[in-house]
Formats: sequence, C-alpha cells, structure tokens
Amino acid sequence: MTELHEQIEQYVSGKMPASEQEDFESQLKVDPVLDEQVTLYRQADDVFSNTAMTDFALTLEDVKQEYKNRQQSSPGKNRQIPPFVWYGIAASVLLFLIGLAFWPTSPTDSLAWDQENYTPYPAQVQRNADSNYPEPLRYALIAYREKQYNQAVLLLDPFTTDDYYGSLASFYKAQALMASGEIQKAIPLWETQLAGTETAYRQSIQWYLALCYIRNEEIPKARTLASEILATPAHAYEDSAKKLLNNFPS
Amino acid sequence: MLILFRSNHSFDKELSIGEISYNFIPLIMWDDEQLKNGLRSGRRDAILQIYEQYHRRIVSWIIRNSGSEPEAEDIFQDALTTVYQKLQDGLKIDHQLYTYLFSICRNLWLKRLRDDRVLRNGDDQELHHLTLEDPVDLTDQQLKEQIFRRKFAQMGKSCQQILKLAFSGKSPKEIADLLSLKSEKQATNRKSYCKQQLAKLVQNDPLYKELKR
Repeated sequence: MTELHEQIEQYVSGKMPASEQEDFESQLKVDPVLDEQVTLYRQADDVFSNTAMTDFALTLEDVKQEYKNRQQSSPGKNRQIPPFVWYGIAASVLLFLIGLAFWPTSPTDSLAWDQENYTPYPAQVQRNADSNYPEPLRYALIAYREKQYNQAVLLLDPFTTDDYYGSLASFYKAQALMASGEIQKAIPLWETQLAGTETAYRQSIQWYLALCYIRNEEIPKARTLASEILATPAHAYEDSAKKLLNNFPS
Repeated sequence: MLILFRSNHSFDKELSIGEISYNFIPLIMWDDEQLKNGLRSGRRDAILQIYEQYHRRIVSWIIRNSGSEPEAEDIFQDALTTVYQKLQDGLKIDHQLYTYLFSICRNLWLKRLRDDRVLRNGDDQELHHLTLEDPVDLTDQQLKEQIFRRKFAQMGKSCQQILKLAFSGKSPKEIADLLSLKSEKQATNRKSYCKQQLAKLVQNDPLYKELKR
C-alpha cells in the first residue's frame, strides 16, 4: 500500500490503476478530509499551470525579503531618538527581565500544568516498504510512534539537514527529545525552525515550544509565544494558548 | 524620473537638511507610468519601488483598522499580484497606481474583517478620496489561488524547484535528469512529498480556513 499523498497524486494525475480507483472513489464519497485533499491537489495543478504568475509570486517574495532586510538595516530608523534614551530603555527592559527571572513561580504548578496539557504529537507513517520516505526515515518515524524516542532521535538526526525531509525530521526529532524529557535539546531545534523558512509545522512548533518553555520555567517566553498564537487568526492552538495565558498571568 | 538622495525610511515625511542621515542611499523615483510598465513586465526593481513608496502607508492603514502585521503583509502581496494579473490581461489602469492598489487592499481587507472587529471610520475618512467608485473585487476562487502562490513562494527552494518543473509539464524522467536525481521514482516521490507540504501550508492558512466556512 502506498502513502496516502502518493495515492492522491496518482488519482489526480489519472495514473491510479483501475483496480484501485473504484475503492478510492468510494472512500472520497464518505471521507470529507480526503475529498478536501484531492481538491487541494487539483487546485494546485490549476493554479500553477500559469507559469508567469508562479514566477511573479517567487519574484514578489524575494523582493519582499529584500525590502524587509533593507528596513531592518536602515541606519535612519532611530536617528531622531538620542542614544542615551535607547540605553535607558534597554536598561529598563533588562532590569524587568531580571526581575521576572527571580519572580517566584511554583515548579509544581508548571509541572502539574505540563502534565495536564502535554501529549506527544502523533506520527503518521505507513509500515509498508513502499512508503515515500527513505527507509531509515520511515523507521525513525515508526520508532517515534512506538515511543522509542532515543532510537527515533538517532535515526532522525541525519535527515535534519536534508533539503526535502529536513523540516519534518527536525520537527520530529525535537518532539522525540521533548517526549523523552530532553527539553534543553528540543528548545534550540524548534527555535531554529521558527526562525527559518516557512514550515508546515509552524503552528505545532509554536505550541510545543511554548510547552517546553513552561517545563523549563521560562514563563515569559511561553507567554510571548502564546500571544503570537492568539495574534494569528484561526490558529490550531488558539484555545490552548488562551488557557496558558490564563494559567500563567504576567 | 525624479532623482533624490534620502535615507531609507518613510516616503511621506518631508526632509530638511537637519534630518538627513549621515548614511543615505541614492534613490531614483519612478513615475506612475514607469511603475505600471515595470510591474506589467514583472520587473524586480519596479516591485521594489512599489514596496518603497506604498507598502508602509497601506500596511499601517490595515493595522489601524484591526489588522495584524502578517495579515497586512498578505493583503499587500495579494493586491500587488492582482494588479499584475490585471496588467497581464491587458487592462489599462487609468487611475494612479497607488489609488488602484489601495482600493484593492481595502476591498480585500473589508472582505476579511469579521463581525466582531470594528473598522475605524476615522482613519478611513482620511483616505476617502482615494477610494475608487468601482473597486476591484476578487472571487473566493481567486483568493484561494493567491494563497496557493503565496505559500508556494514561502516554501524551501528545493521544493519550489521540483514543483515548478512538475507544474510546467516536465516528466519525472526530465525532472530527474535536470536535478541530477537517481531515478524517475525519486523525482515522483519528491514531487509528491513537496505537493503534500504545499497542501498542508495552504490548509493551515487562516484566510483559507475562513473561505472554507
């Protein structure tokens, strides 16, 4: 049996064997999630058949990044505010953060909250040898699903720098580290992912990183992420973020 | 064409000798027709000019009217793509480019506002004279197309490369040869994987979720 997305691609491109097509179409009629996936694949084929628009979208994104880089490196940004005022603001922020670091928090509360609100992220992977993923990666994801987290980390590690699977591997490696309690290793992995290019796991990373911060007693950072989640319309973890902010007020 | 020397900041402010930074950037400002022609050709320098001249004002307006910065960025990009598409289709824009662009942004934003958000009329009146009588409207289908393109442009370069080849009609064998992959199957698998990633990115887009409702 092939991976689901391979089946969808075969179906949409008209290359699905006739023997499988009838079953697949029966599934489509009763599974709205699958039906939506098929619709998305078809829409992608339609949208990107216009190569001029695709090229324009790529140019636009490049220009946007260049514009933002220019804005950030602009020397004129702060020139109307005297430097000593900026030093004063920086000193105030630093004192505030130091104060927060010593603010009494209850380790038990953080731990209890974490235990109540954390469940490992589910892994979806087929056991079959025809899986789209290279075999070591497939085994890594199976190990993760079977809660063999140390093995999963070892098997995922080589893929974290892969052009295609890097995002997925980094995400699950951090999940495995978190699930096995190695928060100090999970946090930098996810921080790097969030700072990098857009990833399909962004929303999940935001939430799970916030949980890591709770577990690591870095409540202000967790609150910042929760606020970012709430600022994103229709975020998948909106309710969870609200709960976090209510449980850990500033 | 007007040639100015100014620091790289707000287009709106008047500059006096006392405000010019010690580190300024030479800037050639294009006139309206040059911007439209440049945009029609998809020229990078024209698009950058448009960003330099119009981006901050429009994004500020959206933020003042209950928008977040990411939403404002998306709206600006979608509007620019719409203008490009109209120009490609042969439309002659009689209005000033800024007026046209702002009207599309405003329309797109009004479409996205939810019932519980308030449009601050005070700020809207300030730019009232810039509203077109017959503003451009986009269908839900067109909005979905914009989402697809935006998300595609935000993907990693490797997936962009392989999907671009696949969508342009290249066969798996051709893709494998062009990208020096081991086999056709590898090309097919990677295309399939990247398409799955794109589908996930689109599905997670807040506007796409709203359009689905």
